[in-house]
Amino acid sequence: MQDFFIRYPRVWRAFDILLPFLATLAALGVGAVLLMVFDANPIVAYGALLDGAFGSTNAVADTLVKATPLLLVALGICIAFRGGVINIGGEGQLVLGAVTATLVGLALPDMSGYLLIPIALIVGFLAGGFWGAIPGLLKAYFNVNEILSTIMMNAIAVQGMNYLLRGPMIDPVQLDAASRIPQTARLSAAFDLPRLVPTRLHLGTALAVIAAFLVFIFLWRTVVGYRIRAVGLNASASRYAGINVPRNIVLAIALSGAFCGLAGAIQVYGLHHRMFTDGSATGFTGSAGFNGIVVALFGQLHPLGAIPASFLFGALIVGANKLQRVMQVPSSFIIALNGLVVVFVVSADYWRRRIARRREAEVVSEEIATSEAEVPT
Amino acid sequence: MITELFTTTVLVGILASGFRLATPYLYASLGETFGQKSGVLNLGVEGIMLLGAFAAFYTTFITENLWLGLLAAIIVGGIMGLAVAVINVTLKAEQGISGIGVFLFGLGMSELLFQKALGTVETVSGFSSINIPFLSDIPIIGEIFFQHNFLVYIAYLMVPVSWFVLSKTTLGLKIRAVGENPEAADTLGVSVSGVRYFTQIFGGVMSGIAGASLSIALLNVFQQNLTSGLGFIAVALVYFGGWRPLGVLVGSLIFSMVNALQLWVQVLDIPIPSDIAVMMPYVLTILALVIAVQRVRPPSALTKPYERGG
Amino acid sequence: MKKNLKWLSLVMLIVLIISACGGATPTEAPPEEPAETEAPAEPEEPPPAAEGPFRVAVVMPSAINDLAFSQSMFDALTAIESEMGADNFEFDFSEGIFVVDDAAAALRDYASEGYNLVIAHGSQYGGSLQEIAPDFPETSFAWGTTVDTFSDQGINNVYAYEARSEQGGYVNGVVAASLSESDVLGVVGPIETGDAKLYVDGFVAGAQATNPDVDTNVNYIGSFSDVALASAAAETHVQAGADQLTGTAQMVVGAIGVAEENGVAWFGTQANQTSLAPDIVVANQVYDWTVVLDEIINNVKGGKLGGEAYALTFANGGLLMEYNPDYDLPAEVKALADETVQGLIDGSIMVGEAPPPPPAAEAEPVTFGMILVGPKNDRGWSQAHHEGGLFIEENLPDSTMILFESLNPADKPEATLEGVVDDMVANGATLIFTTSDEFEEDTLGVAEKYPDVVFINISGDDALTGEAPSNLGNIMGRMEDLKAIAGCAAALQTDTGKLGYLGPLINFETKRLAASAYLGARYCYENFRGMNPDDLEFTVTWIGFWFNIPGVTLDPTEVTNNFFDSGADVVLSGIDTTEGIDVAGQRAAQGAVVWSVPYDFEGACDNSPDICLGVPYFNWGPAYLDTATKVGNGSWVQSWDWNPPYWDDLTDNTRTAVGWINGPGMPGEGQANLDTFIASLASGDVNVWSGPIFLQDGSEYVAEGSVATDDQIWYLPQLLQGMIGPSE
Repeated sequence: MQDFFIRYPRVWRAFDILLPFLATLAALGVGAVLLMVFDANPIVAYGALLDGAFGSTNAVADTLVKATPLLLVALGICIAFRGGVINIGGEGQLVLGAVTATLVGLALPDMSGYLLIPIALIVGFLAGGFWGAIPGLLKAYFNVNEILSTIMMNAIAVQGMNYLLRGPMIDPVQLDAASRIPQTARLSAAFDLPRLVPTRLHLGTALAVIAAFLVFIFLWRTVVGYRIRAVGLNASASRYAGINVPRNIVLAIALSGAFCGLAGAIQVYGLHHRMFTDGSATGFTGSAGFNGIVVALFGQLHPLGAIPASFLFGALIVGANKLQRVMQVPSSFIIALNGLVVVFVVSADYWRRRIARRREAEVVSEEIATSEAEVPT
Repeated sequence: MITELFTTTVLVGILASGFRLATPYLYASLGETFGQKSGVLNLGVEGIMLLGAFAAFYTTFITENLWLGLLAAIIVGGIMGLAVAVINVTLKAEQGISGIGVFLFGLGMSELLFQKALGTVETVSGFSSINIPFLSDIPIIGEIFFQHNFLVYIAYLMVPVSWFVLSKTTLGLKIRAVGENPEAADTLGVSVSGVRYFTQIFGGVMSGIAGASLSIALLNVFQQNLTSGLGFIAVALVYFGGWRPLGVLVGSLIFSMVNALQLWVQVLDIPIPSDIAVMMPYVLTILALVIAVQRVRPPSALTKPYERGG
Repeated sequence: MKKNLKWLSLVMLIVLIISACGGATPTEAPPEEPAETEAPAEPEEPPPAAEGPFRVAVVMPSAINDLAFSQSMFDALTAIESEMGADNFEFDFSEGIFVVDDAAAALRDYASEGYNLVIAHGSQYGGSLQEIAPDFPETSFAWGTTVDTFSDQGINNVYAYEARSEQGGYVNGVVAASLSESDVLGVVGPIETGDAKLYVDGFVAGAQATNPDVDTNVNYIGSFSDVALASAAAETHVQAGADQLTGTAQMVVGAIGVAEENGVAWFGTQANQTSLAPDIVVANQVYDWTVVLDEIINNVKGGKLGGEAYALTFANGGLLMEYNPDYDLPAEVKALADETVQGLIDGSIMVGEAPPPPPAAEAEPVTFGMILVGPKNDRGWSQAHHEGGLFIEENLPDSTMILFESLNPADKPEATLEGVVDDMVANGATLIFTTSDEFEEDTLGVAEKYPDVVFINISGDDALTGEAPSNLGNIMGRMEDLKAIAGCAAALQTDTGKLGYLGPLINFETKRLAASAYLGARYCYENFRGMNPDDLEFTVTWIGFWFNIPGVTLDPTEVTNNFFDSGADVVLSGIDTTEGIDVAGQRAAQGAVVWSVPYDFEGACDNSPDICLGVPYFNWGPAYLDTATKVGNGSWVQSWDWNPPYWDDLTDNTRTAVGWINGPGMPGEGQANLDTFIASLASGDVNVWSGPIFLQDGSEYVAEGSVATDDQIWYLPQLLQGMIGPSE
């Protein structure tokens, strides 16, 4: 079979791209068994899933809205992975970006939207970057593993958010109410990212796609991007080549955090128009900080690949929620299904790597030639 | 008010609670230490803990036999460990990501089974406290260390056992070799996959027991998302401990005692907002590592799948 | 390696086959389980017309079996479904939607599918709902828990609902503080907001009110799901000495386990948690959302889509206290809990955010009517009310009283309450006091007739029983304590051990007042005089009305003379007028050794100071002024007030609702004892209504070790054992 792919590179390309979808289908197959255990008809169920994700203008809009933060987080993950670090602090960075961007909007209620929205998004970007830079610095200079520090910093961000939203940032209206719902006042309507009435689709989706192209250019067409990738590929070789490895590690994870922060800011300005908490990060992020990692892999750790990957993953989540509504199966089914999809997709990568390696061996000379051409000097 | 923290009641309370709270972390972290020592990161500990917790709870609920419950957790943990091994060792999946999948699967599946099989929150009578003769009567010391249940004692017993296995036995040597230099180990005839399968299954079993320690020993209930992030902290504590059982012990104790401390801070009306108090264990865990700058290097092959000849 | 690949391909193949089988099932399934394939809602189904079943969709943050917040809503909808029938009502739900973004999508989806009512059952969903509701103006939405309907933003298709969980928190706090021996209580909360904060604050307030020495330690663990940390928090409370624990939200199941292990009592909320620890759960506050949902559904059916905020309270039955039948709760604590619930219902106990203080600057003048049953200068009941009216005029500038005296069949047989009220309203009265229980029934009628006028009926209970329309309130002073003082004064002074009580007519009020006087007399006879209280002869003679109506009632002068003739040496008055003290004065002037305790009016002793042992009196001024002020600025709401005395100074007429003036006739030693008695009443050390108390027919009314509840006192069915005189 591998020989077949090597002989027909076009088919291989198609297989390469289709592999995650095949894996997803396989996961859905296992999910079908689960559904039958629940006396639910899998055909009807998956019909509802498709309908929920693509069945109407509204559905497509919801899918795109869901895909937006996933894409932005995935872009950050691409940068981190290319730089050789794992960033599982996306949840906390999303929260930080959202809270700070909201603060900007609350502090300057009279500013023009054309001015304020860019400022707020940049502030969210920087705040996420700051929250990412901390584990970066801890790793680079104190040898604190980033998995440990980002897990801890997610928890810290959540508690900080809870404190701010039930205290200093709370909606003054809520302050008078006995129940004091922990949310800020609604931001001025002038600050809403334009949306396609009456769906929830907003400009943030377009911004995320633009960001994907910018990240692509950054990683493959700039010196800084090249250095990050070099450190990720081989840290010790990069050190000999004179690259400041610690600094690039910090930069990679900070940028990764920055895109998560931007995702948080866009969620606020495009979707919620205020900040709120249910006590956890998930209520606001929808686990985008974790799912974005999966999307990045889905898109083969390539910024442009992340665009369709995030769309499909968004469709899966939105459709699955619809499935839950229509079939009245427990929501936990959706979570388990999500887990199965991740496991299957990540496992299926095995075949691609195997074939790729075989193919590399065959065309090694051309590969070397092209990869050298990519390296700016 | 701050001074009230230094009364005997409070200090004994913090130490006793911390000692007990550390139990699930110890099981899960020690299991994960074996896995990481052999070069495999399993981020899905949380999911396995949840499944183990449910298996133990449900079996105990039905059979009213705690040992069968514990056995169920061990079996379910072992099966999940095997699955992780297939994914991470045989299929060489990206370990930082596959773990998220395992976590989500365990989170969803345990809740699904809970709803299907139980339907509502129930309780069981779990392992009861065993007062160690004589030792438990020692003032203060007895209360802190010797008035706990079976699974608590075993957790602490696992620390020296793990240390012994990892540093003093051939098995431990193989695990370390596979994690540091799989090529060399392979050349010497050690089955890299075999060792890693073993550590993953062992890690799964330990995660399962960690879950059981919650559902049938410490809390004696099961509900959705019972572990609530505990499994992720357990993974973090492996890094904290520098891949040494003793370090894991120190990390688990610090984290859970600071957690007990922050609860006292609120009880004593020390004027810190509750959310800020809740942050304490997380902040202090990071600070502890920053201050005690460690030069411990992770196992060289950690997260790197082994390709023979590659 | 190749072998591996084949093996895995096989696995994949199996998976695909299984999924294909899954696909094949439906063609076979229908004949077996037709119901199952019908179940899923058809997306193509057109929005139902008005005659179809009422369709509700609800989005909830946690699982429907969480034994807490979401389950309470699910259970309520299930109850409504079984009540209305599946043909008339159906509901769909999305549970575990903690991701707000997903909740928003679900809400929008439900709305577009034509559900009649879409419920966002999570306070974190509000922001999303605010964006969605305007897009679906034909759909009704409900959001909880909150009071915000967004109507100030021009959105009028959203209902708001909340649970006043601080009420049950308060009751739990009262019970916990009563039961606690260590005086330390522990609370485990999630994060310091919303429903949880309300409950916890209520609990702390209830505990504090019951026993100011109680320490209530509160722990917010920063999570709704961390069961292990909740259990650690409970453990910390136990180590800190707490012997009563409570907590709110899903994760408290961990804390309940700790409570059980340590044999510490537990108080639940949101749902009945008794099943989790049958030995130690004392009481649960339970939510019943049907109360709110029924109203909303009715409104929606009637075409009103939103704009109202509803709350579950004890008063409307949306909050319930469910006690664990297996927990041995002492009767007096249970009685105290019931009394607390009653107090929360009638408004005599306020908990939660203090109501906004009345804007003092905007004291609007009020024209009010004052209808008296007797003459305004009777030196008794009616005069006290008249002075209350004058107190309003003095303190609420430019207010005017329209007075009508002696509205009774004897003095003014042609006048009716309705006629009097008609005149008063015609003259601009916006507030009318009807100052007798004789007017209770007629007041109901005029209150219905004039819904924009506020009526206050004195001594009635219509606002308590719920019979009254919302513009009718009740005020009464808590005279019972002062009647006990009166009885005590009589017992301290009597030589013959025979007391006469001049009763008006027989009703609950007069029975409980006479009984209070008797109980006070017994207490002091025994504790200060060292006599056997059973030897005390306490005779009640009812004259038949509040004052003498010749030919209709017994003549109080004659009755008083009879008392003295038959050996009594102290006569206590329970009627509106002063015959008791007048006759005693005459007798004393003739050399008899007799005393009297008059009633109602603070100046009553002046008639015969030397033989006056003191007088309990009503002071209506403060309550009347408060009512008039609120009516003036529009903040008056219906209440049933049984106002206690101001114990710090029983003669402070700017504050106390009922008072006591010491009598010049009371000798120094007796007065000292009386002062001791008053002080022990004020501190709560002595309560004359402590059991055992037996009714006249010999049945036990209040058990040994218990204290009579407000209800028991207010609705006293008979005179007490030992009192002489008819109960019917």
